Amino acid sequence: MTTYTDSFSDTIYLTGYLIESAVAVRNIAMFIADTSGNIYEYDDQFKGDAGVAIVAHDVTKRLDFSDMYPADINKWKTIYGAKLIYVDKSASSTVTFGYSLDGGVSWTEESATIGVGDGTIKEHDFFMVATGRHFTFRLENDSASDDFQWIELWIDYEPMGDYWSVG
Amino acid sequence: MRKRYIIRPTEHGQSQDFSNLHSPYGSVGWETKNIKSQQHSHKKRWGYDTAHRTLTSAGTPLGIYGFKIASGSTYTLYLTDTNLCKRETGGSNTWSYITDTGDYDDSVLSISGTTVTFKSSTVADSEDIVAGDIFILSVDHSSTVEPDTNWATIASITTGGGYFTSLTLSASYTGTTGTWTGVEKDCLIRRMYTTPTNERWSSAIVDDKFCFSNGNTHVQKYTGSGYASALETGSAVATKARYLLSYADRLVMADYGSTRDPQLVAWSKNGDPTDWTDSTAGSAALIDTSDKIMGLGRVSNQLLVYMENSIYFGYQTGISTSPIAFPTHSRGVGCKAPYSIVHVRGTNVFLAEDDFYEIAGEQARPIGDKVRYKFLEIVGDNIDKVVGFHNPREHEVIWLADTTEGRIGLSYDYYDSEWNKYVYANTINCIGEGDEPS
Repeated sequence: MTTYTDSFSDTIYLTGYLIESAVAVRNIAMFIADTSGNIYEYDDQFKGDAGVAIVAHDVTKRLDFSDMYPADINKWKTIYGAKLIYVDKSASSTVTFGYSLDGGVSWTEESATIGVGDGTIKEHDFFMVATGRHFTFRLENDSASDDFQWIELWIDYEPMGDYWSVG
Repeated sequence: MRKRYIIRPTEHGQSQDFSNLHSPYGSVGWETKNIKSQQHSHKKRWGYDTAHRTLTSAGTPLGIYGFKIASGSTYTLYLTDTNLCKRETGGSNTWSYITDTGDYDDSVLSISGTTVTFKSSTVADSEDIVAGDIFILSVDHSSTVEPDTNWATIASITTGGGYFTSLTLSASYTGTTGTWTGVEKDCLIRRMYTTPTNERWSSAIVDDKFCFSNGNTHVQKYTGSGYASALETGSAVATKARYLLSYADRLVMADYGSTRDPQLVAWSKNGDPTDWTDSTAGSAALIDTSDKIMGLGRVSNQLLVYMENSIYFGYQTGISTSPIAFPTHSRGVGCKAPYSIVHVRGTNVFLAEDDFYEIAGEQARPIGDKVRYKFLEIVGDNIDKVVGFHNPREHEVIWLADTTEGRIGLSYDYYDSEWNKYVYANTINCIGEGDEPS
C-alpha cells in the first residue's frame, strides 16, 4: 500500500464572482409616520409608542360558561379564582386582571407584578369571590417597557341555583 | 362541585360575526386592543421608538418606501402631501428634499427683505414655478440636514420678456442678503407638489426609477441622484395619474390625463417608463360599465384593474404592439377604498363595499367575515379613505381607518387568518419599510 504525503496549497481568489457583486444583504426595517411628520422605527423591540405606554388589553366576550358546560347556562355561578398561563417575556411585568358582572360597565381589578424575563411558560393565580350569571374578564398590560404574552386563563367557579324570573 | 372554565384566547382574535353570548370559543370582545394573535397566544403588538426623523416642515407623510437600484444602492424615501424626501445618514445628517427642484446658477442679482431680484434672462417663466413654491440660495443650503431654516416661500412672481425678473417672498429672507452684480448667486427653487384631498401617492419601481404620482402632478421619477423630475419632457402623456403599477417590464398607469379619465389605463414602452409614444406603449378604455377605476394590482401574471363594482383581469399577449389585453371582467365585487389594495403573498387583499377580499385566481374571496359587521358599522362614510399597508415581518396587513372610535389600525394576520385592533398613541398616517436605522 502506498501512502502519498505530498501536498500543496494555494489561495483561491473570488474576485469578479457573485460574492463581490452588487448583491448585498439588505437589512429592512419597518417605519411608521404620524400626521405631525414624525417618522418612527416600528419594531417588536419597542414596547411603547414613542415612550407612551401601549394599553394592551384583552377583553373576553360576555361569558356564561355554557360553551363548555351547557347545563350551567341558566345558573348563578360563583367564581373563586383565575389562573393566568403566560410566557415570561419581561421582568416585573405589570398585569391587571379584571372581571365584570354587568357586561363591562364596572370592573373589579387586581394587579400583579409577574415574571423574570426568562422566556418560560408560567402561571399566576388571582383570587376572588363573586357571584353572577354572566362574566366578562379582562387582562391588561399598560406599559411602555414591559412585554406581555398570555396563553390561557382558567376560571374556577361553582354553579349555584337556577335563575328564575317571577312575573 | 367546582368546575374549571378554560379560556384559550389563542383560538381567535376579533370575531364579531356571532352575537355576544354565542361567539366562537375563545374569541375576544371588540374592546380588545393592541393585542396580536400569534402562535396560539396573545401578545402585545409592536411599538415604536422615539421619532427617528421629523418631517414637519415637509408636510404630512403619506408614504414610506424602500428604493433599491440595480447597482445595490438603497434609499429610504418619504412622500408627503407636498414633497419627496430622502433619509440621510452619517454625522448630523437628517434628511434631504428631493422634490422636483430647479437649480439656477448665477441667477440671483440681489436679495433685500422679501424681494429677490434676478439677473436678466436666467430663469425662464416656463419653468413651472408658482406662488407657494420654495426658494433658497445655494450658498445658504445644508442639503442633508433638513429642515434648513433659510427656505422661503414664494408669495408672488414678476416676469418680463419670458423670464423672471423678481420674486416676492412671504417673509424676509433669513439667509445671505445683498447685491452681487457680476458675481450673481446660485439658487434653488423647490416645486411643491399638491395632493388632492383624500388622495395619496401611488408608486412603482421600473427600470431603476422610482415612479410616483398623486393624481395631480406629472408622473415623477427619482433615479437615486439629484432631484425628482417629470417622467417626460415636453408634452406629457403621463400626467395626473392616480394609480401606478409595474407590469410586464412597463409602467402602467390608470385614471390619468390633463383632465383625468377614470376609465383609462395606459402602459409605457417596454422597459422604459419614460416613453409613452413608442409602438409598444398603449392604452385601453375600460368602458363596459360606468364604474371608475379604483386601483391597480398584480397577481401572478395577471394585471388587475379594480373598478368600483368589478375587476378586469389583464394578461400579456406576446404581441409587441398590443402587449396587454383584458379578456376577463369579473363583476359584482370591486374596490371601494382605492388605497386599501395591498400586495401580499403573491396576491392582493383589499376593501370592497361589503367586506375585505383576497384575489384567488380570477375570483375575489371574502376574508373579513370575522370583522366586517363591526368594521363597516364604525367606518361608515369614511370607508373610501381606508388605506392599507403590509408589514411582512409580522405577516400582517394593517388597514388604517377613521372610525367612530377614532383612527384605528385593523390588523389581518395572513398566517392565522386572525384580526386584531390597534390603537396607536399618535395619529398614524402611513407605514412602510426602509433601510435599518444607522
